[in-house]
Amino acid sequence: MRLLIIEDEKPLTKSIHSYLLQSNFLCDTAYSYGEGKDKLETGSYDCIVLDITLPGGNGLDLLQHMKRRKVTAGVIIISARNSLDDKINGLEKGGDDYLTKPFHLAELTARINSIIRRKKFEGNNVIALDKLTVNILNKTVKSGEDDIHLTKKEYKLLLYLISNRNRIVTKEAIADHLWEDHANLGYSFDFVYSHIKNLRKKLVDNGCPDYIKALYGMGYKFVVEEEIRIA
Amino acid sequence: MKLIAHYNRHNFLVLTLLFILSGICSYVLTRNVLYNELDESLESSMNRVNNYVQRYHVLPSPTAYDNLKVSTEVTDKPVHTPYLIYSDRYITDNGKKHAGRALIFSVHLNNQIYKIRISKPLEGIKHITQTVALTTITMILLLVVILAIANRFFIARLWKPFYSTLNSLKNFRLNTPGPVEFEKNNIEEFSVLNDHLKIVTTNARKEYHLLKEFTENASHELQTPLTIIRSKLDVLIQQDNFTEQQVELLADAYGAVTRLSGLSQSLLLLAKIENNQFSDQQEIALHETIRRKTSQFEEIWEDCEISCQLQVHPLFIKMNADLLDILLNNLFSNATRHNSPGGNIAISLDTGSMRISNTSPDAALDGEKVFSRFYKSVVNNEKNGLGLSIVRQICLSSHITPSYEYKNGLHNFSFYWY
Repeated sequence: MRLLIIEDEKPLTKSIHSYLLQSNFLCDTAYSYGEGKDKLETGSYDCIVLDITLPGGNGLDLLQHMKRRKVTAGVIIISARNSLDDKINGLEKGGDDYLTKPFHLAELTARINSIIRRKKFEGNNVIALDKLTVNILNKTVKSGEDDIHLTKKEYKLLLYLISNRNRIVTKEAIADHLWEDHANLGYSFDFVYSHIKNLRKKLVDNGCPDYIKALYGMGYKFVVEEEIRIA
Repeated sequence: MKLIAHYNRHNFLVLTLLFILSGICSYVLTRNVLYNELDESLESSMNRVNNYVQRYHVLPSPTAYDNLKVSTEVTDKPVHTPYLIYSDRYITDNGKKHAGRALIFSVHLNNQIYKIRISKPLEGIKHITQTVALTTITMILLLVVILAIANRFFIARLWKPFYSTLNSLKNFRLNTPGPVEFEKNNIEEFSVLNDHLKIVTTNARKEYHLLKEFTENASHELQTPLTIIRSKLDVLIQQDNFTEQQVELLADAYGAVTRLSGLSQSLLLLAKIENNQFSDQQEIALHETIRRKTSQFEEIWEDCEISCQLQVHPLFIKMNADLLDILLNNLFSNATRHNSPGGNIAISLDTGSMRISNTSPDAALDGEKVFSRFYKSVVNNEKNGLGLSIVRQICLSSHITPSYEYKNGLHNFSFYWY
């Protein structure tokens, strides 16, 4: 998978780059409007991470440019602007997703995965990973041939962990992902713990290895040896 | 009391006193002058009588002319010094009894002492002084009436620009766009007042906007460094070889970044509401919105073992949909966060009001401060204390009256639409 990150904050770009590299994404970086435009001309990408305020121009104009050039890559807009109008505007101009700063890199990875799945593998909505098979369309999970019945939150959690497999995902990132606006409810970390506990139990009960490792005080890690196949 | 009423009250009091005083003065003065005049004329008559007696050696006949009456009687005691008396024995030709003034003296004639009494009526003086008093009183009444009318029309018109300025100031809000318009007038003081007020209000508004802009920009600019810190931490924690102590340090730093980002987002939201960036309003079925919001929270409440009672009557309100969503989110979150397992949340919607009550291990909050910024009743460093001030700001911009009450162990938040 090839990604282009267009973001003028170099430290942020570097973080995104190194985090995504661990997920086997090949990343190109551009630090300005002009540079981004050049890279779009020469390279072909599966997904573009785009900041709105760039030196030399507005990120949204790049979206228009891509539309004219018929670039098919999925675009995630990252911006400090968090009003609904900004989001709607970004999505109307051709963004596929809109992520407000400050975000968790785990969230960004999950969304990139989701966009690439949508764009690249239309109709094939099944993720097979080790013993697990996740059907994204029906939102069903199977361990081998057995159905695992998950609640909505558990399913969302599993998908999030799979997107960030073999990486530590903090409990804050999980809480933000599961509850979005309501994540700041005092004890949402207790909920994270109880959801993880339930999910782990259901997976193990259905014959899966114990994929989810707890890292005390930090978060959780979905450990799986086999590389993901998208059937 | 209006300025004019104050002015009139004092003015009329002083004027009336002044007129009464001057009335009394002119009455007394006029009377005294006339009495002197009368007394002098009596004295000159006495001189004339004395001369007459000396020249002709007969007493003057008691005829009365020029309202002057002379009467004589024989006496054995001479009057050494002539003296004046008031008498009511002055009788006019047509037999009417009047008050008068008399001069009594004696003359020697043919070894006989005669007491002579010359008297003049006081009637004329009485009439004149009465007329003076009457004129004064009439003048007072007339003046007071005329002044009252003049004040009412003339002074009221004179002060009109001032009241118009007051009215403009009353409608002045820091966060409404456009300068305050003061009515033009040709009274110098009021013109100066208006000019100064215009400068002051324009400056206040400019400062206010700068401050708001600053808050918004500051919150905005904070997001990028926060994103960088968080992303660095995200990358850093992926390394496996941390000691327990290092993990603890990292977890604390991560938690602080999460809090900071929440804080800056809350401040940004506050600034946006204050800047009227959520201005488009629409008709909303509040009961529907509450039902939807309740179902969103159901799962969380289930996890927290909190029961919920919902009692809604249809209520349609006009407000911004995003603000309503934030308002309900904040209220429901609060009711959840300050609750305890086995607790309860009751939401009721009546005609014109909404009430959210929750059980809580916390004691009653200070009703005065509960909606102010950074107010924390208990030491709880996890929260920034901005939730309810966002609620208050939303209420302020949507014309809702919020209130808090602690009753029977329940924290009640009520909201009224008018």
